[in-house]
Amino acid sequence: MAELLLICAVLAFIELDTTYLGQVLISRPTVAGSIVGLLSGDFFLGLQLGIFTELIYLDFMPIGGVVPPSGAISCGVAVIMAQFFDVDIYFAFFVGIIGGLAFSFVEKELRRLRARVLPQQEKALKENKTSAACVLFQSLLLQFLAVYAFLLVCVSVIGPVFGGISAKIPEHLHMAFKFSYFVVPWIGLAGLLLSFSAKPKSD
Amino acid sequence: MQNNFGIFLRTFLLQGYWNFARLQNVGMLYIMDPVLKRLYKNRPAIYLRAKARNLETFNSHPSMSVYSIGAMIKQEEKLASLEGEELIEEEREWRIIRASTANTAASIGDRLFWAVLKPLSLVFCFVILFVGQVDMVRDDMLAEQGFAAAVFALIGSLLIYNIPSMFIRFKGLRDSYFGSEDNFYGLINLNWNKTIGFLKLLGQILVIFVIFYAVYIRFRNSPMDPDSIARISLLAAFLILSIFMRKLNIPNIFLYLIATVVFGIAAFLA
Repeated sequence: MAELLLICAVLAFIELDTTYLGQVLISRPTVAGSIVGLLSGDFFLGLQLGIFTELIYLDFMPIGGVVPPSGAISCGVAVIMAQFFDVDIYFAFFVGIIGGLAFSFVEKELRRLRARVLPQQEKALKENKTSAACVLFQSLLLQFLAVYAFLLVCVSVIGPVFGGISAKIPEHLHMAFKFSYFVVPWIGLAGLLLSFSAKPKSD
Repeated sequence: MQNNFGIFLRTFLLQGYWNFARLQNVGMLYIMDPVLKRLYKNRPAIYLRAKARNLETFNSHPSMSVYSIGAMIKQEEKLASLEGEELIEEEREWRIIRASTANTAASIGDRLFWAVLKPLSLVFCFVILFVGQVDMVRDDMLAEQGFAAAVFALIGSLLIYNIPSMFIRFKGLRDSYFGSEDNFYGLINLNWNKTIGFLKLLGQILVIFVIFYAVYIRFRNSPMDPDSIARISLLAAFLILSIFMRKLNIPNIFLYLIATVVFGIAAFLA
Protein backbone atom coordinates (compact mmCIF):
# COMPACT_ATOMS: atom_id res chain seq x y z
CA MET A 1 0.00 0.00 0.00
CA ALA A 2 2.82 2.41 0.92
CA GLU A 3 4.50 1.55 -2.38
CA LEU A 4 1.32 2.36 -4.27
CA LEU A 5 0.95 5.72 -2.49
CA LEU A 6 4.58 6.55 -3.28
CA ILE A 7 4.15 5.65 -6.95
CA CYS A 8 1.03 7.84 -7.17
CA ALA A 9 3.00 10.72 -5.62
CA VAL A 10 5.87 10.27 -8.09
CA LEU A 11 3.37 10.11 -10.96
CA ALA A 12 1.59 13.26 -9.72
CA PHE A 13 4.95 15.05 -9.65
CA ILE A 14 5.85 13.81 -13.14
CA GLU A 15 2.46 14.99 -14.42
CA LEU A 16 3.39 18.58 -13.51
CA ASP A 17 5.86 18.47 -16.40
CA THR A 18 2.99 18.08 -18.89
CA THR A 19 2.06 21.75 -18.64
CA TYR A 20 3.06 23.53 -15.45
CA LEU A 21 6.67 22.80 -14.62
CA GLY A 22 9.50 22.37 -17.07
CA GLN A 23 7.93 20.71 -20.09
CA VAL A 24 11.12 18.72 -20.60
CA LEU A 25 9.03 15.67 -21.57
CA ILE A 26 9.66 13.46 -18.54
CA SER A 27 5.85 13.31 -18.53
CA ARG A 28 5.69 11.83 -22.01
CA PRO A 29 4.05 8.41 -21.66
CA THR A 30 7.13 6.49 -22.82
CA VAL A 31 9.24 7.97 -20.02
CA ALA A 32 6.54 8.24 -17.34
CA GLY A 33 5.36 4.67 -18.02
CA SER A 34 8.92 3.35 -17.75
CA ILE A 35 9.50 5.16 -14.46
CA VAL A 36 6.25 3.85 -12.98
CA GLY A 37 7.06 0.39 -14.36
CA LEU A 38 10.52 0.48 -12.80
CA LEU A 39 9.14 1.56 -9.43
CA SER A 40 6.43 -1.09 -9.49
CA GLY A 41 8.76 -3.89 -10.51
CA ASP A 42 8.25 -4.34 -14.27
CA PHE A 43 10.16 -1.82 -16.32
CA PHE A 44 9.27 -3.35 -19.70
CA LEU A 45 5.57 -3.47 -18.94
CA GLY A 46 5.76 0.28 -18.21
CA LEU A 47 7.82 0.91 -21.34
CA GLN A 48 5.36 -0.91 -23.60
CA LEU A 49 2.27 0.67 -22.07
CA GLY A 50 4.03 4.04 -22.32
CA ILE A 51 4.94 3.61 -25.98
CA PHE A 52 1.45 2.38 -26.89
CA THR A 53 -0.15 5.27 -24.98
CA GLU A 54 2.11 7.80 -26.67
CA LEU A 55 1.28 6.38 -30.10
CA ILE A 56 -2.45 6.51 -29.46
CA TYR A 57 -2.28 10.11 -28.12
CA LEU A 58 -0.09 11.35 -30.96
CA ASP A 59 -2.86 13.45 -32.50
CA PHE A 60 -3.40 15.54 -29.38
CA MET A 61 -1.24 18.64 -29.18
CA PRO A 62 -1.38 21.17 -26.32
CA ILE A 63 -1.89 24.13 -28.65
CA GLY A 64 -3.54 27.24 -27.24
CA GLY A 65 -6.37 26.35 -24.87
CA VAL A 66 -6.58 22.70 -25.93
CA VAL A 67 -6.44 20.31 -22.97
CA PRO A 68 -5.27 16.95 -24.29
CA PRO A 69 -5.80 13.71 -22.36
CA SER A 70 -2.96 13.11 -19.91
CA GLY A 71 -0.55 10.53 -21.30
CA ALA A 72 1.34 10.30 -18.01
CA ILE A 73 -1.84 9.50 -16.09
CA SER A 74 -3.05 7.05 -18.75
CA CYS A 75 0.07 4.92 -18.75
CA GLY A 76 0.59 5.35 -14.99
CA VAL A 77 -2.93 4.08 -14.22
CA ALA A 78 -2.47 1.25 -16.72
CA VAL A 79 0.80 0.09 -15.12
CA ILE A 80 -0.69 0.33 -11.61
CA MET A 81 -3.75 -1.70 -12.69
CA ALA A 82 -1.57 -4.38 -14.27
CA GLN A 83 0.97 -4.58 -11.47
CA PHE A 84 -1.06 -4.07 -8.30
CA PHE A 85 -4.47 -5.45 -9.27
CA ASP A 86 -3.43 -8.21 -11.70
CA VAL A 87 -5.53 -6.71 -14.48
CA ASP A 88 -4.61 -8.12 -17.90
CA ILE A 89 -2.41 -5.73 -19.87
CA TYR A 90 -5.02 -5.12 -22.59
CA PHE A 91 -7.71 -4.24 -20.02
CA ALA A 92 -5.19 -2.15 -18.06
CA PHE A 93 -4.36 -0.19 -21.20
CA PHE A 94 -8.04 0.48 -21.85
CA VAL A 95 -8.63 1.60 -18.24
CA GLY A 96 -5.58 3.86 -18.51
CA ILE A 97 -6.92 5.50 -21.69
CA ILE A 98 -10.28 6.13 -20.01
CA GLY A 99 -8.41 7.53 -16.97
CA GLY A 100 -6.39 9.90 -19.17
CA LEU A 101 -9.52 11.10 -20.95
CA ALA A 102 -11.35 11.58 -17.64
CA PHE A 103 -8.47 13.60 -16.24
CA SER A 104 -8.70 16.10 -19.11
CA PHE A 105 -12.10 17.13 -17.65
CA VAL A 106 -10.51 17.57 -14.21
CA GLU A 107 -7.72 19.56 -15.82
CA LYS A 108 -10.23 21.87 -17.54
CA GLU A 109 -11.93 22.49 -14.20
CA LEU A 110 -8.59 23.28 -12.57
CA ARG A 111 -7.84 25.83 -15.29
CA ARG A 112 -11.30 27.35 -14.85
CA LEU A 113 -10.71 27.49 -11.11
CA ARG A 114 -7.44 29.33 -11.65
CA ALA A 115 -9.24 31.76 -13.95
CA ARG A 116 -11.89 32.38 -11.27
CA VAL A 117 -9.28 33.01 -8.58
CA LEU A 118 -7.10 35.10 -10.92
CA PRO A 119 -8.68 38.52 -10.19
CA GLN A 120 -7.87 38.18 -6.46
CA GLN A 121 -4.39 36.92 -7.22
CA GLU A 122 -3.78 39.76 -9.68
CA LYS A 123 -5.02 42.31 -7.15
CA ALA A 124 -2.64 40.93 -4.52
CA LEU A 125 0.22 40.94 -7.02
CA LYS A 126 -0.47 44.51 -8.16
CA GLU A 127 -0.59 45.68 -4.55
CA ASN A 128 2.63 43.82 -3.72
CA LYS A 129 0.85 41.70 -1.09
CA THR A 130 2.16 38.51 -2.64
CA SER A 131 4.83 37.48 -5.12
CA ALA A 132 4.50 35.73 -8.46
CA ALA A 133 6.68 32.91 -7.07
CA CYS A 134 4.19 32.39 -4.24
CA VAL A 135 1.22 32.30 -6.64
CA LEU A 136 3.02 29.81 -8.88
CA PHE A 137 3.91 27.62 -5.91
CA GLN A 138 0.25 27.52 -4.80
CA SER A 139 -0.78 26.64 -8.33
CA LEU A 140 1.75 23.80 -8.59
CA LEU A 141 0.73 22.48 -5.17
CA LEU A 142 -2.94 22.54 -6.18
CA GLN A 143 -2.12 20.70 -9.37
CA PHE A 144 -0.02 18.09 -7.58
CA LEU A 145 -2.72 17.45 -4.96
CA ALA A 146 -5.48 17.27 -7.59
CA VAL A 147 -3.56 14.72 -9.67
CA TYR A 148 -2.65 12.75 -6.54
CA ALA A 149 -6.29 12.67 -5.42
CA PHE A 150 -7.43 11.67 -8.90
CA LEU A 151 -4.93 8.79 -8.96
CA LEU A 152 -5.96 7.62 -5.52
CA VAL A 153 -9.62 7.62 -6.55
CA CYS A 154 -8.74 5.71 -9.73
CA VAL A 155 -6.73 3.03 -7.98
CA SER A 156 -9.01 2.70 -4.96
CA VAL A 157 -12.22 2.45 -7.02
CA ILE A 158 -11.38 0.99 -10.42
CA GLY A 159 -8.68 -1.40 -9.16
CA PRO A 160 -10.83 -3.37 -6.69
CA VAL A 161 -13.87 -3.22 -9.02
CA PHE A 162 -11.86 -4.69 -11.89
CA GLY A 163 -10.31 -7.23 -9.50
CA GLY A 164 -13.80 -8.30 -8.48
CA ILE A 165 -15.24 -8.68 -11.97
CA SER A 166 -12.18 -9.91 -13.88
CA ALA A 167 -13.04 -13.58 -13.26
CA LYS A 168 -16.52 -12.98 -14.68
CA ILE A 169 -15.42 -11.21 -17.87
CA PRO A 170 -16.43 -13.45 -20.81
CA GLU A 171 -13.71 -14.87 -23.00
CA HIS A 172 -15.16 -12.95 -25.97
CA LEU A 173 -14.30 -9.65 -24.32
CA HIS A 174 -10.79 -10.84 -23.53
CA MET A 175 -10.37 -11.64 -27.22
CA ALA A 176 -11.75 -8.27 -28.32
CA PHE A 177 -9.53 -6.23 -26.00
CA LYS A 178 -6.50 -8.36 -26.81
CA PHE A 179 -7.00 -7.83 -30.54
CA SER A 180 -7.52 -4.09 -30.22
CA TYR A 181 -4.38 -3.89 -28.06
CA PHE A 182 -2.51 -5.81 -30.76
CA VAL A 183 -3.38 -3.20 -33.40
CA VAL A 184 -2.45 -0.15 -31.28
CA PRO A 185 1.22 0.14 -32.42
CA TRP A 186 0.20 -0.18 -36.07
CA ILE A 187 -2.49 2.48 -35.76
CA GLY A 188 0.10 4.66 -34.02
CA LEU A 189 2.89 4.08 -36.52
CA ALA A 190 0.61 5.01 -39.43
CA GLY A 191 -0.35 8.17 -37.54
CA LEU A 192 3.32 8.88 -36.88
CA LEU A 193 4.11 8.64 -40.59
CA LEU A 194 1.33 11.07 -41.46
CA SER A 195 2.35 13.50 -38.74
CA PHE A 196 5.52 14.16 -40.74
CA SER A 197 3.82 14.41 -44.11
CA ALA A 198 2.08 17.81 -43.88
CA LYS A 199 3.94 20.55 -45.72
CA PRO A 200 5.16 23.50 -43.58
CA LYS A 201 3.06 26.63 -43.89
CA SER A 202 4.73 30.00 -44.41
CA ASP A 203 5.02 32.24 -41.33
CA MET B 1 21.35 41.69 -20.37
CA GLN B 2 21.90 40.90 -16.68
CA ASN B 3 21.31 37.48 -15.09
CA ASN B 4 20.66 35.74 -18.36
CA PHE B 5 20.83 32.29 -16.75
CA GLY B 6 18.37 33.21 -14.01
CA ILE B 7 15.79 34.31 -16.58
CA PHE B 8 16.49 31.19 -18.64
CA LEU B 9 15.69 29.03 -15.57
CA ARG B 10 12.53 31.00 -14.83
CA THR B 11 11.19 30.30 -18.32
CA PHE B 12 10.55 26.70 -17.21
CA LEU B 13 7.77 28.06 -15.01
CA LEU B 14 6.07 30.15 -17.70
CA GLN B 15 2.98 27.91 -17.60
CA GLY B 16 2.96 27.46 -13.81
CA TYR B 17 -0.36 29.29 -13.47
CA TRP B 18 -1.95 28.38 -16.83
CA ASN B 19 -5.55 29.58 -16.80
CA PHE B 20 -8.35 30.17 -19.30
CA ALA B 21 -8.62 33.89 -18.50
CA ARG B 22 -5.15 35.31 -19.17
CA LEU B 23 -3.26 32.12 -20.07
CA GLN B 24 0.44 32.46 -19.07
CA ASN B 25 0.31 35.94 -17.53
CA VAL B 26 1.42 35.06 -13.98
CA GLY B 27 4.30 32.96 -15.32
CA MET B 28 5.34 35.87 -17.52
CA LEU B 29 5.35 38.23 -14.52
CA TYR B 30 7.46 35.70 -12.58
CA ILE B 31 10.04 35.71 -15.40
CA MET B 32 10.06 39.49 -15.73
CA ASP B 33 9.95 40.33 -12.01
CA PRO B 34 13.74 40.42 -11.36
CA VAL B 35 14.14 42.76 -14.34
CA LEU B 36 11.33 45.02 -13.10
CA LYS B 37 12.78 45.10 -9.58
CA ARG B 38 16.20 46.08 -10.94
CA LEU B 39 14.81 48.79 -13.22
CA TYR B 40 12.33 50.33 -10.79
CA LYS B 41 13.94 49.67 -7.41
CA ASN B 42 13.70 53.35 -6.37
CA ARG B 43 10.29 54.01 -8.01
CA PRO B 44 7.65 51.84 -6.27
CA ALA B 45 4.65 53.40 -8.04
CA ILE B 46 6.14 52.83 -11.50
CA TYR B 47 7.15 49.31 -10.41
CA LEU B 48 3.50 48.48 -9.62
CA ARG B 49 2.42 49.93 -12.97
CA ALA B 50 5.02 47.75 -14.71
CA LYS B 51 3.80 44.70 -12.80
CA ALA B 52 0.21 45.38 -13.87
CA ARG B 53 1.37 45.76 -17.47
CA ASN B 54 3.21 42.45 -17.34
CA LEU B 55 0.11 40.73 -15.95
CA GLU B 56 -1.77 41.33 -19.18
CA THR B 57 -2.73 38.29 -21.26
CA PHE B 58 0.23 36.39 -22.63
CA ASN B 59 0.37 33.18 -24.62
CA SER B 60 3.19 31.57 -26.52
CA HIS B 61 5.00 28.28 -26.90
CA PRO B 62 6.99 27.62 -23.70
CA SER B 63 10.34 27.06 -25.44
CA MET B 64 9.88 29.76 -28.09
CA SER B 65 8.50 32.36 -25.67
CA VAL B 66 12.07 33.51 -25.05
CA TYR B 67 11.84 35.44 -28.32
CA SER B 68 9.16 37.54 -26.71
CA ILE B 69 10.84 37.68 -23.29
CA GLY B 70 14.15 39.05 -24.58
CA ALA B 71 12.36 41.73 -26.60
CA MET B 72 10.24 42.61 -23.56
CA ILE B 73 13.31 43.04 -21.34
CA LYS B 74 14.76 45.43 -23.89
CA GLN B 75 11.46 47.33 -24.08
CA GLU B 76 11.22 47.53 -20.27
CA GLU B 77 14.70 49.07 -20.16
CA LYS B 78 13.48 51.63 -22.67
CA LEU B 79 10.30 52.33 -20.68
CA ALA B 80 12.24 52.77 -17.43
CA SER B 81 13.74 56.03 -18.69
CA LEU B 82 10.41 57.54 -19.81
CA GLU B 83 7.60 59.43 -18.10
CA GLY B 84 4.20 60.96 -18.93
CA GLU B 85 2.97 60.92 -22.54
CA GLU B 86 6.18 59.36 -23.80
CA LEU B 87 5.69 56.45 -21.40
CA ILE B 88 2.07 55.91 -22.50
CA GLU B 89 3.09 56.03 -26.16
CA GLU B 90 5.93 53.57 -25.62
CA GLU B 91 3.65 51.26 -23.64
CA ARG B 92 1.49 50.94 -26.78
CA GLU B 93 4.60 49.92 -28.70
CA TRP B 94 5.42 47.45 -25.86
CA ARG B 95 2.01 45.77 -26.31
CA ILE B 96 2.40 45.52 -30.08
CA ILE B 97 5.86 43.94 -29.81
CA ARG B 98 4.72 41.59 -27.06
CA ALA B 99 1.70 40.33 -29.00
CA SER B 100 3.45 40.02 -32.37
CA THR B 101 6.53 38.19 -31.06
CA ALA B 102 4.46 35.90 -28.81
CA ASN B 103 2.07 34.92 -31.60
CA THR B 104 4.77 34.31 -34.19
CA ALA B 105 6.93 32.37 -31.72
CA ALA B 106 3.88 30.28 -30.72
CA SER B 107 3.13 29.43 -34.33
CA ILE B 108 6.72 28.34 -35.02
CA GLY B 109 6.99 26.53 -31.67
CA ASP B 110 3.82 24.50 -32.17
CA ARG B 111 5.00 23.37 -35.59
CA LEU B 112 8.61 22.73 -34.60
CA PHE B 113 8.29 21.24 -31.11
CA TRP B 114 4.84 19.65 -30.87
CA ALA B 115 4.34 18.61 -34.49
CA VAL B 116 7.90 17.59 -35.40
CA LEU B 117 10.49 17.29 -32.61
CA LYS B 118 8.28 15.43 -30.16
CA PRO B 119 7.22 12.71 -32.64
CA LEU B 120 10.74 12.61 -34.08
CA SER B 121 12.19 11.92 -30.64
CA LEU B 122 9.71 9.03 -30.32
CA VAL B 123 10.85 7.66 -33.68
CA PHE B 124 14.47 7.81 -32.50
CA CYS B 125 13.38 5.95 -29.38
CA PHE B 126 11.93 3.23 -31.64
CA VAL B 127 15.10 3.05 -33.73
CA ILE B 128 17.37 2.72 -30.66
CA LEU B 129 15.06 0.04 -29.21
CA PHE B 130 15.17 -1.90 -32.48
CA VAL B 131 18.96 -1.60 -32.69
CA GLY B 132 19.11 -2.83 -29.08
CA GLN B 133 16.88 -5.79 -30.06
CA VAL B 134 14.03 -4.64 -27.81
CA ASP B 135 10.86 -5.91 -29.47
CA MET B 136 8.25 -3.50 -28.12
CA VAL B 137 5.62 -4.01 -30.82
CA ARG B 138 4.83 -7.50 -29.56
CA ASP B 139 1.74 -7.59 -27.40
CA ASP B 140 3.62 -9.94 -25.05
CA MET B 141 6.91 -8.06 -24.75
CA LEU B 142 9.11 -9.95 -22.31
CA ALA B 143 11.36 -8.62 -19.59
CA GLU B 144 14.51 -10.48 -20.56
CA GLN B 145 15.22 -7.96 -23.31
CA GLY B 146 17.95 -5.32 -23.27
CA PHE B 147 17.44 -3.06 -20.28
CA ALA B 148 20.46 -0.91 -21.15
CA ALA B 149 19.20 -0.36 -24.71
CA ALA B 150 15.78 0.64 -23.39
CA VAL B 151 17.28 3.16 -20.93
CA PHE B 152 19.53 4.49 -23.67
CA ALA B 153 16.48 4.87 -25.96
CA LEU B 154 14.58 6.83 -23.31
CA ILE B 155 17.52 9.13 -22.56
CA GLY B 156 18.16 9.54 -26.29
CA SER B 157 14.56 10.52 -26.97
CA LEU B 158 14.68 13.10 -24.17
CA LEU B 159 17.95 14.54 -25.48
CA ILE B 160 16.67 14.78 -29.06
CA TYR B 161 13.84 16.97 -27.85
CA ASN B 162 15.62 18.87 -25.09
CA ILE B 163 18.92 19.80 -26.73
CA PRO B 164 17.21 21.93 -29.43
CA SER B 165 14.75 23.19 -26.81
CA MET B 166 17.52 24.37 -24.44
CA PHE B 167 19.57 25.77 -27.31
CA ILE B 168 16.63 27.79 -28.60
CA ARG B 169 15.73 29.01 -25.10
CA PHE B 170 19.26 30.29 -24.57
CA LYS B 171 19.92 31.62 -28.08
CA GLY B 172 16.43 33.06 -28.44
CA LEU B 173 16.75 35.06 -25.25
CA ARG B 174 19.97 36.70 -26.44
CA ASP B 175 18.86 37.11 -30.08
CA SER B 176 15.61 38.80 -29.14
CA TYR B 177 17.24 41.07 -26.56
CA PHE B 178 19.90 42.22 -29.01
CA GLY B 179 17.49 42.09 -31.96
CA SER B 180 15.35 44.78 -33.50
CA GLU B 181 12.39 45.25 -35.83
CA ASP B 182 14.78 44.61 -38.72
CA ASN B 183 15.28 40.95 -37.77
CA PHE B 184 11.93 40.64 -35.95
CA TYR B 185 13.68 40.40 -32.59
CA GLY B 186 15.83 37.46 -33.66
CA LEU B 187 12.91 35.41 -34.93
CA ILE B 188 14.19 35.44 -38.52
CA ASN B 189 17.80 34.62 -37.58
CA LEU B 190 17.03 30.94 -38.16
CA ASN B 191 15.30 29.48 -41.23
CA TRP B 192 12.47 27.74 -39.40
CA ASN B 193 10.68 26.41 -42.47
CA LYS B 194 13.84 24.81 -43.79
CA THR B 195 14.60 23.27 -40.40
CA ILE B 196 11.04 21.95 -40.00
CA GLY B 197 11.03 20.63 -43.57
CA PHE B 198 14.33 18.79 -43.06
CA LEU B 199 13.20 17.27 -39.74
CA LYS B 200 9.92 16.14 -41.31
CA LEU B 201 11.76 14.43 -44.15
CA LEU B 202 14.07 12.72 -41.65
CA GLY B 203 11.02 11.68 -39.63
CA GLN B 204 9.28 10.20 -42.67
CA ILE B 205 12.34 8.17 -43.67
CA LEU B 206 12.82 6.83 -40.15
CA VAL B 207 9.12 5.97 -39.66
CA ILE B 208 9.06 4.02 -42.93
CA PHE B 209 12.13 2.10 -41.71
CA VAL B 210 10.48 1.52 -38.32
CA ILE B 211 7.22 0.23 -39.88
CA PHE B 212 8.99 -2.23 -42.18
CA TYR B 213 11.36 -3.41 -39.47
CA ALA B 214 8.49 -3.76 -36.99
CA VAL B 215 6.54 -5.91 -39.47
CA TYR B 216 9.67 -8.02 -40.04
CA ILE B 217 10.41 -8.66 -36.36
CA ARG B 218 6.73 -9.17 -35.53
CA PHE B 219 6.28 -11.94 -38.09
CA ARG B 220 9.80 -13.30 -38.71
CA ASN B 221 9.21 -16.45 -36.64
CA SER B 222 5.58 -16.93 -37.67
CA PRO B 223 4.79 -19.79 -40.03
CA MET B 224 2.83 -18.86 -43.15
CA ASP B 225 -0.38 -20.38 -41.86
CA PRO B 226 -3.91 -18.93 -42.13
CA ASP B 227 -3.61 -17.40 -38.63
CA SER B 228 -0.48 -15.42 -39.52
CA ILE B 229 -1.96 -14.31 -42.84
CA ALA B 230 -5.08 -13.14 -41.02
CA ARG B 231 -2.95 -11.19 -38.53
CA ILE B 232 -0.87 -9.56 -41.28
CA SER B 233 -4.07 -8.66 -43.17
CA LEU B 234 -5.57 -7.18 -40.02
CA LEU B 235 -2.44 -5.15 -39.40
CA ALA B 236 -2.38 -3.87 -43.00
CA ALA B 237 -6.08 -2.99 -42.76
CA PHE B 238 -5.49 -0.94 -39.63
CA LEU B 239 -2.48 0.82 -41.12
CA ILE B 240 -4.62 1.89 -44.09
CA LEU B 241 -7.62 2.70 -41.90
CA SER B 242 -5.45 4.82 -39.62
CA ILE B 243 -4.13 6.80 -42.60
CA PHE B 244 -7.68 7.25 -43.90
CA MET B 245 -9.02 8.43 -40.54
CA ARG B 246 -6.10 10.77 -40.08
CA LYS B 247 -6.99 12.41 -43.40
CA LEU B 248 -10.48 12.95 -41.95
CA ASN B 249 -8.90 14.49 -38.82
CA ILE B 250 -10.26 11.71 -36.62
CA PRO B 251 -7.81 11.00 -33.76
CA ASN B 252 -6.20 7.56 -33.43
CA ILE B 253 -7.81 7.03 -30.06
CA PHE B 254 -11.23 6.75 -31.69
CA LEU B 255 -9.92 4.12 -34.07
CA TYR B 256 -8.71 2.13 -31.06
CA LEU B 257 -12.07 2.48 -29.32
CA ILE B 258 -13.96 1.57 -32.51
CA ALA B 259 -11.65 -1.44 -32.98
CA THR B 260 -12.45 -2.59 -29.44
CA VAL B 261 -16.20 -2.35 -30.05
CA VAL B 262 -16.00 -4.03 -33.48
CA PHE B 263 -13.80 -6.87 -32.19
CA GLY B 264 -16.17 -7.27 -29.24
CA ILE B 265 -19.20 -7.63 -31.52
CA ALA B 266 -17.29 -9.95 -33.86
CA ALA B 267 -16.15 -12.11 -30.94
CA PHE B 268 -19.72 -12.44 -29.65
CA LEU B 269 -21.05 -13.29 -33.12
CA ALA B 270 -18.31 -15.83 -33.87
